[in-house]
Amino acid sequence: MQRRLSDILPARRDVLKLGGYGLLGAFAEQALVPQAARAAGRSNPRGTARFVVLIELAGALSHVDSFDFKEDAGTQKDFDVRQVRNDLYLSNRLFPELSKEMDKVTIVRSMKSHEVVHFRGQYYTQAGRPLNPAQASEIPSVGSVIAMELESQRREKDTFPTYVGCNLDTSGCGALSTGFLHPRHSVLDVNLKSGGGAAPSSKDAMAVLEERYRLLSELDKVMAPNRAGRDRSFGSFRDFQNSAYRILGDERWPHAFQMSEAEQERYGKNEVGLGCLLARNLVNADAGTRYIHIVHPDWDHHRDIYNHAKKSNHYIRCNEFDRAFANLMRDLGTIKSPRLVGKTLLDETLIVVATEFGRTPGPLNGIAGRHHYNLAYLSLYAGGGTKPGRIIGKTDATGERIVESGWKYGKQQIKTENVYASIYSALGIDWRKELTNTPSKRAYRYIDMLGATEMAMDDEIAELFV
Amino acid sequence: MIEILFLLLAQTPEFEKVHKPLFTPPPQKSKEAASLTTAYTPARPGGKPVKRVNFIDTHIFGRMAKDRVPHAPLSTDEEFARRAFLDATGRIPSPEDIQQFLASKDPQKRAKLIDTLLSSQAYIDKWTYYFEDLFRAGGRMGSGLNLFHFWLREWLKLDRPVDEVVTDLLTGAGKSSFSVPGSLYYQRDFVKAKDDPDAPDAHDLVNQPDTVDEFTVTYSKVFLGLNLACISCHDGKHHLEKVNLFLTSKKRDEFWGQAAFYGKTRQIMNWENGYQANTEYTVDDTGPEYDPKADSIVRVPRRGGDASPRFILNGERPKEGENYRDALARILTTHPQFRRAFTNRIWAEFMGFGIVEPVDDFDLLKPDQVTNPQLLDALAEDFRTHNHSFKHILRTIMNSAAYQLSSRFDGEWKDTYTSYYARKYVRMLSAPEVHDAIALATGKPGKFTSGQESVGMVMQMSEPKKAGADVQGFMKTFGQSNRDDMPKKVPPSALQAMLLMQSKVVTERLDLTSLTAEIPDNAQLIDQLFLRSIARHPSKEEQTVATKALATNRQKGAENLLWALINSPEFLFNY
Repeated sequence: MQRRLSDILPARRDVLKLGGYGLLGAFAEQALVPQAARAAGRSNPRGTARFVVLIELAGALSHVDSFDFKEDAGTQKDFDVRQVRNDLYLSNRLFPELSKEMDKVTIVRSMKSHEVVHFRGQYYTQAGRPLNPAQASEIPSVGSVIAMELESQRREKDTFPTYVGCNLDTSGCGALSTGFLHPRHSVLDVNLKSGGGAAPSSKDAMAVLEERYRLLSELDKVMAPNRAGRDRSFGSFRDFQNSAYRILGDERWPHAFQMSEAEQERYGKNEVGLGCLLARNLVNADAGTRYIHIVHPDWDHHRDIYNHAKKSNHYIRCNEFDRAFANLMRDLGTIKSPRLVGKTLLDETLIVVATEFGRTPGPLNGIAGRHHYNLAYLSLYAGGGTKPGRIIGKTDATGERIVESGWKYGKQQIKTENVYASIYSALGIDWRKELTNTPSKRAYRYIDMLGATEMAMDDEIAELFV
Repeated sequence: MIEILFLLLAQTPEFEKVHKPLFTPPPQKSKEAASLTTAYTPARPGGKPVKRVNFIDTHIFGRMAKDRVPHAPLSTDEEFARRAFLDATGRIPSPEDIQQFLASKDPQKRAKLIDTLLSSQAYIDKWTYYFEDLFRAGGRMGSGLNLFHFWLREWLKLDRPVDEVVTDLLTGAGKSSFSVPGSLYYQRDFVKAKDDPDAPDAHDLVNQPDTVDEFTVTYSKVFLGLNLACISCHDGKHHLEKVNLFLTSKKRDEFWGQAAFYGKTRQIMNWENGYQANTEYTVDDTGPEYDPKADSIVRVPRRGGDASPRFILNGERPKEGENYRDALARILTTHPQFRRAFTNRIWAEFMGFGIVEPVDDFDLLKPDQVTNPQLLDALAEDFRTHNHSFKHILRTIMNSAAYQLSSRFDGEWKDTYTSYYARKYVRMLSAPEVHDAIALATGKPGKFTSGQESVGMVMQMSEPKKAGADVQGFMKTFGQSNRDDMPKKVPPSALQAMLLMQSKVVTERLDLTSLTAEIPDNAQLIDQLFLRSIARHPSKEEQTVATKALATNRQKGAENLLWALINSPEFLFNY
């Protein structure tokens, strides 16, 4: 019986790790063919941002204690809640730095998800659509789609990968693959706590690397015949080596990883702090990286969410995130843009803060924590053409229900799909595009309403920008 | 052929009902498919026919002959030697190993090499490591980890029947960390209820039903190749139609029926001197039955249903007075799905992918998920009739001509040939294999400890996490499991390439002062470096390039050459 290759490939979680050049060199054939694209109903992307930094608070941020504050039985006495402006109350204990910077930030409070499971929620946050095990093997991460879209804009001097990840491997679903797209659009996922950029540490070290790499290239020419006729994965690995060498050979790369003690202290020596510091450096370098996805793990406080005695609690996580996000905005806001007169890097960088869902409002639960809550949660935006200081959407007095969506679609709540439509829009990418030559023959829509678990609009959140 | 298939299927009425094929394939016309002799198989034009060795070849080459699928030639001795070493022992061969093998004129040399490899210490190292990844033998086993490590090594050394080992893993009871290694497999899966030290019953510290649910999902994937995760929260109907037909027909309370074999099992966290001895438990079977209305921390609320223990594949129940877990072990290890899932998993390790993929997600109502059902059933039956010997599966697979085919396919490859295993499928070395290959090629073992011992290879460690930040970061990039989650494969990436070029794991091992002194002749030195790293002699052209590299500074040149060889795709891949 004839079997299509895609029939053999695994589904579910394991598949998320198989990329175009995974086990079977499966989609290699596919990836070498130019994508068959069609613009299915044109969208009008704004093109207001050159860079996007997405900070994912993995594990789920409690919305009612943070940026949609509700006074309830779970509110801690030491929160020190202050009115920042009209409709914005913020705990100064949790967010001392951000309390000073909220004029730069816009909040969407009317997000809704169907997901309540971390793995699925975090997959959703990376893929821009809910997990469908039947299709998962071919679905790329949004970052990879962006890398593909922006590839034509890469200049000769651009060596850095378009899509850089920070601690993606700590996310519940890990770093998603390129799916049916070519592996060269894959993320370079950096873990700053272990290893970082692997860059040569000195000019001498660089010289040694150059000499060795030259030998490798010469040797490879004569070694290649032994690989002929065996498997395409050999060739693709050489491609990765060439990209890797170009990155390592560019002195801007180790420079991006040089972080002084003072800077590290200021941003915080943790996943999100160092990640935001790296993001700042990568944006400042403008050496090819355009999309950065940082994961700040360990927000899942089902128990002891506000117990100071615990090694992991919302106080600690909020403070870490607070310093990182505030300093990133400040620094980018101070650096003048070399491209646009009178603008700063913050004007050119869309920062999005996403989380997979919210946490149960009201009193704390039986183990002094908050559980998952998907019916109302939030996301944050700064820079990149967004109008700052807005609040889009409104929840009821307890934070349990959305009462106003705050955008033009009335009762339709805002979903992760819309967040990504906004990101595509800011980058100037037509988010209503679809690619039709997928292995399954099912069109890959950049924003897929029909793939959603419930009704979703295929539009950006225009209210962020106008 | 079909009669044998049905005979195997008719184990129980329920199993037969489930396994009834959705259609009956037409009777096989070709008698050749059943023969074990050198039948003609359509290799590429001019290619030598391949001699069939065992039943695996009957099914692989028979199917190819029937469907007129061409196949690759047999691997060369160099290809075979390196591959066999890696697959059986996780290590690349030494120059002496290769030269000895290449020089031998013994017509049985491949079979003899296989036997040697399967009797080696390195075989035990590699497969202990493999099962520790699979059983997630990590930090959550606490102080029982070394005991578990030792126990795994012992059963591999003795080639204990796998059904007995699985029985131990499913029925272990006692104080987990110090006395009963098998119990550690269950013990590591605890879901804690609360941290309250004043809890009246220490039993409450673990949420038993949630723990049991987690564990049931785990062992069903590992030993039955069934992914019961979805139905642990809800019925299959209206949810799984596009995902798994068999599980679509299953209800949540049937999952509970499976979970209920652990219904009476308790994990009681040990307390010593007023402190919780975290990760030390006593496991016993004196709890109440599985409660289908119990509170859940990690799952959709349980609203009641039939949670009497019954095996999900055939409804079989514990005998009168039989301990539930003994019943589970008995039913599971005698069920054909256990044998099929296990042999399929091992087949995937050697042949690139399973006869059923994914190996932990069979859809028992989709016969076409099984690309070669006769082969799978034959493997399962062979496993049973050879006392569930693990070593026997390996020996059988490795000796087959199918395993020994080359990856080089000189004709036009069609993706439709894939499921026929018409060639060897190239795979990247696993994370510990990469590390250990670098250590071996450079002659510089690591300085690790495993328990009380000093060891040089990562694959000898009971806890690879203890290997130091550089090694850990390196291995994680190449896909090393954290032993908290199930192992996953990672695709190749630029970061891997970067680390192979720049990581201290490589760069601090390249001092060739002694080797260059020992071998004054350039040609011999180059030959030695090629053999050490990629297990073959250099070609003339490669010799030329390499000699040039040594011209200005002999030692630096040799070190650069070794670096380049380690960074060449041939080093990184098992082909």
